[in-house]
Amino acid sequence: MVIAEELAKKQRAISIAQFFEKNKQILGFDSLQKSLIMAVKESVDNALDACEEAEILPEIEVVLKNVGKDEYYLSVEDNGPGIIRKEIPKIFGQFLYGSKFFSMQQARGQQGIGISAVVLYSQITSGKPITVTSKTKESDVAYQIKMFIDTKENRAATVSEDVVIVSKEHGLKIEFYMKGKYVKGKQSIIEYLKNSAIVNPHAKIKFTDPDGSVIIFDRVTNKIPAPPKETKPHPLGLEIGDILELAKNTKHKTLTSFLSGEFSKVSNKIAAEICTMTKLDPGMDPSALKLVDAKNILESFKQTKLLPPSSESLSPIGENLIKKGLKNVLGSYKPSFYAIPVSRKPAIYHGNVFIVEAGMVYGGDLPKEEQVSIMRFANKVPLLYQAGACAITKAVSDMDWRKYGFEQKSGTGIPSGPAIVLVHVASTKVPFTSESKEAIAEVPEIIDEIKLALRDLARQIRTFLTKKEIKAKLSEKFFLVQKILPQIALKSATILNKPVPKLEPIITQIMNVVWIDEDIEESKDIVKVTVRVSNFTAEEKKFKLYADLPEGKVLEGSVDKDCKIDPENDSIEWEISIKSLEQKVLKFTLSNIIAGTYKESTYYVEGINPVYVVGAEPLPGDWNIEDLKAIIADDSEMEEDENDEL
Amino acid sequence: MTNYDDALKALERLVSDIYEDMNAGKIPKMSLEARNKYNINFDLRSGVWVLGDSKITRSAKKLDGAYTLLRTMYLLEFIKEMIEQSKSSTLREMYYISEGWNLAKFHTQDESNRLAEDIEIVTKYMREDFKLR
Repeated sequence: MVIAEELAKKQRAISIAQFFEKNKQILGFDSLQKSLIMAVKESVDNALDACEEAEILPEIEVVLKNVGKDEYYLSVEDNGPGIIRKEIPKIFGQFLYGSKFFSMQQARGQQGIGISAVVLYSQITSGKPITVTSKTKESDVAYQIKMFIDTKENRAATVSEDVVIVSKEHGLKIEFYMKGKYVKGKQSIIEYLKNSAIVNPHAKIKFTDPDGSVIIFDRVTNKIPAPPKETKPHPLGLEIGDILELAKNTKHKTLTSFLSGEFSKVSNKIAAEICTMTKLDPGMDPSALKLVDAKNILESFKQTKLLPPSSESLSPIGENLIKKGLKNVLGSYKPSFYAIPVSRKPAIYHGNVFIVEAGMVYGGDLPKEEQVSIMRFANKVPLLYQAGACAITKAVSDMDWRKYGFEQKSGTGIPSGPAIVLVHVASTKVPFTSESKEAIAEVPEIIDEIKLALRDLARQIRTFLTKKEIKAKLSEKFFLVQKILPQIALKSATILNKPVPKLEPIITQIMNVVWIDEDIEESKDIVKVTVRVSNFTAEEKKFKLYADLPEGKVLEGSVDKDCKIDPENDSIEWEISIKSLEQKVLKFTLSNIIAGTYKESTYYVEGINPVYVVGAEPLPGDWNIEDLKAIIADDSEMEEDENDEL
Repeated sequence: MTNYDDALKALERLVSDIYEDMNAGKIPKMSLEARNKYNINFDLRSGVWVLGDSKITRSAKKLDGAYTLLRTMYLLEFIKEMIEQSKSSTLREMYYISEGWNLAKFHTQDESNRLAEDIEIVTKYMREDFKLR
């Protein structure tokens, strides 16, 4: 008894700050290099979140200085709305204080741990307070607060408070001293900022490294993404406990108003329907719901026709900006192909809405032999660590990439090839595997969505490779019929002293295609396109040719009179009539082009058997072709195999 | 030796086949006995290995085949000139001369040696009959 009493005296509550003080690895501060990255990441993420909420184009400046052995000074300054004076100590000096934990909307931050953790790490390793300088639009002066965290009480301990004058209209600057180690390359501050720039194409980020060299990631768009709206949980994917919890805490007095008021996509009509199905009184107090009732409600949710979750609460990057972001940051690799980024429709797991977006670049100077690099993002935050534990890596590894032109041992694992894959999971709540938010948990619904997006991208790569192969083969044949064949004819005629034979029928047999290709001449925002249509078949061909223009505006008078320009200005239509072995040259000029982005126009044909055409696709829906007989070259003759020779 | 005229005729027949193919609007080609390990039989009577009946075709439809046909034309023209001018050359000399054959030039002497061998097989004459030593 005495011992038990003694033991009981030792029991005491621990504050959350003390807990993290002893367990900083949980928050990602497990090595000197990583700690520095975490500090930058948490500060920059907060700055981006603040700017997004206030609808400001972010301008962020990160400065890192080496001030002693393994000791660094870090400052992160933004042009966000700033923080009002009395909130500053709470936001920076108190764990689990934040605006995002209870809200159902996409944000980089979630729990209110991150920045306090940086403050804590800073004070533990340097012994110096942090400095926060904040200027809001409403206030004439800026407040500068130096503070520590009182870990025992989990609250800020202010060292000094000053009023200072800053030239900015609004913004926030945080300064830390901390132990760290600065590295470059993979898993570095630069890598993190570079990846952030890809998924935040509206942000301008300036970084001064300890050597004093400055790197600027400039914005590629001036459009501020629409801020996500708050939303309620979607009934599908919820558990019984979630419903009981909501019912207990709701302000709604009746079951119908509870159902339509607390859940997303549940109308009054559906709420009434559910009451009928579950035989529950529509007027009952929702807090009186029993376990079995919740179970029945959950079941009937599944049977009603609920609209899919809305994506209002999410802020996806969007296909266009993913492409621009990839080009901005990865342009130096000169990829030969940018797949059209994929944005999946909103889906749900556990009542939370999420969207998967993915993009991919291929070829160019990207290393062919190495593994495909995977860029992982969650709510527009790059994930640099714990790749092996992440749902994105899992989805990539589970797919058989071999059929899409990649190397992959036994069809699982990360494929090899000259490609970079970008996957972004945006959700009202991203299920991270830990507080340090380094990997997305392997939730089956999320993995499935990622796989669907990846498959779409992989298919595009395969089509690109097939096209490239066909073009290479065809240009070989071009060389054959234009250079070699005439010489064979000439030589044989000279030896036999006979006239040179006519080659036209042979050329059409060897080629047997209508070849469409284009030349692009770029100057600033103008692109001049020359299209050559060559008929290498034995007959005259008549068909319609469409040029699908990915961007730009057709300059008036730059096209032939007899063609039609689509009113929406994104396609041109020609009537082509071309004799055997004839070539037609078509021209048009486009204006309003973003310099360096015009790769190619897409061509479609209508009214001609597509097997004859190289360089254009059959117009989607053009299936009423009279003679759809496949023309396959007779390759059955025995070919010489050099390796078999004696 | 009168053999040269017969050999020349055999060569011209080979060229003529290719020429006539083209004249008739057909893709020119050349067939010869396959020289691979699946096409050799041991002849008990003479006690040597002989080529079987399996043939390979070199067609101008593919780039490699077209190159070979063009080289063949150059080689035959060269042989014809040698016979007419009563000259001869070694395989090595022929390879060096072929450096000036533009598109038809060989990458290695192995290739030119092999082509000379091909012509022996198609025409059933020895390369010495073509003034190639």
